[in-house]
Amino acid sequence: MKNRLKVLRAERDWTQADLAAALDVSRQTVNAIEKEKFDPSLPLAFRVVRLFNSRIEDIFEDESGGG
Amino acid sequence: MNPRWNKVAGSRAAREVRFVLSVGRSRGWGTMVLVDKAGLYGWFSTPEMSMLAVVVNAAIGVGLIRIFVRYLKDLDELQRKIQLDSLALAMGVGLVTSFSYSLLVTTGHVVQADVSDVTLIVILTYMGATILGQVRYR
Repeated sequence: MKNRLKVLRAERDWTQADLAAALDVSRQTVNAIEKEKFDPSLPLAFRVVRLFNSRIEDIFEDESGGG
Repeated sequence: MNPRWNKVAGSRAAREVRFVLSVGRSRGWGTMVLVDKAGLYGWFSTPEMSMLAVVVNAAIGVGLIRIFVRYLKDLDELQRKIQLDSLALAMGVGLVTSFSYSLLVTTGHVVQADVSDVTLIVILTYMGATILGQVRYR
């Protein structure tokens, strides 16, 4: 799943470790999501959305194009 | 204090706990295999010592299960996925190995059967799969 996590993080000048701490996950998890190697669970996706005060479709993009 | 830094400190502490638990776990597995091998090679001189070894082994095993459950609960979702993948592979390899081993014993190709050989293969598979998972999602 494509996402804008890296861009949003860079806009705030946060490191992966900062974002990981804010989301209560490991830095490895943030890195894997940014590199699109791992899709976050729905609860984690909502934590991301709340943290960036955004909407889920503004951060994550479903590559399957379903809807 | 910025709550973000509290979370960073908490995360670091959690990592340290995870490290200690993983060391305890690996030593526990090692001790269990060692006790099993000691019984096989007759290192226990009396039946009482053998029984004591069985009790100690079982107690370590129960302790390991509790530690491992706590360890899994402490992980985040990616780390839990890596563990699940590793455990699934280790269980598959364990089943295939034990059935094959059993067949080899039945057909007489293996004379002295030892269940700890299968345990060792399962542990090595689990360790290897965990390392590969960590590298894959690095």
